[in-house]
Amino acid sequence: MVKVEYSHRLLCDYSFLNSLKNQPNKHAVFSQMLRIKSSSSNYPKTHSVMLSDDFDKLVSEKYCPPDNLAGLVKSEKLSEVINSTSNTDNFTKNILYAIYLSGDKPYKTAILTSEESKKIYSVRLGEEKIKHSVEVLGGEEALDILNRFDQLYRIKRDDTR
Amino acid sequence: MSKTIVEFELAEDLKELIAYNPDVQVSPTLKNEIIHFPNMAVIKTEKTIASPLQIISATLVDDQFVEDNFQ
Repeated sequence: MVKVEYSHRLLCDYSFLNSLKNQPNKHAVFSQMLRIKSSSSNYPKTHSVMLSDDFDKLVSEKYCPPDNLAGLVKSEKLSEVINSTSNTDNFTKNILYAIYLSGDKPYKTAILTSEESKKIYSVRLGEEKIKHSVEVLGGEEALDILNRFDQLYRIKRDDTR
Repeated sequence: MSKTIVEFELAEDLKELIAYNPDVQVSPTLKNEIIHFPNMAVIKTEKTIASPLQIISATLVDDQFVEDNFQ
């Protein structure tokens, strides 16, 4: 059984999964996401997560059946405290949740998003201190980390043969 | 009381589950199908969580599956 310690927890947002619809290699990306979530040693089946608001929105838009979406990302509910804070939009909620996730191993979270949304996150994520534990990866950068993680899985698998 | 769950897992994990847990219930046809899945493949499984655990179905997640099940 091959299990991998990945360098970042993955927090996907609505715009990232939505942008995959237009990816020519979306089959490969979905397969990578399914494999990463299944092979994490620290967070088996919960390595990649998404806030429940984004998850429910994709389900309501019939992105895919909920069971299948749950194979890509685990739906996570935010605490009532953060949810009820006024002026808290989804960008801020994702940043707050990414900070929360980075409090445990591997102490780093990557927010996977689209190119356009990355610009908004970058403005919000002003604090240099936060950037040590939370990275925002948009478009190709997000696909790159999935590629790297998948390569890690393949290398680990070859090593254990 | 039993509960049916749907999971996505690696074929090699599913093979180990069957190999090391003789009480897992799986039909001989399905077991044979699972054994022949490539180890790195992702499999969508439907299981009944009870005592013993029962594997109801196992579907290979290939390009066609993604095409049919994801936008």
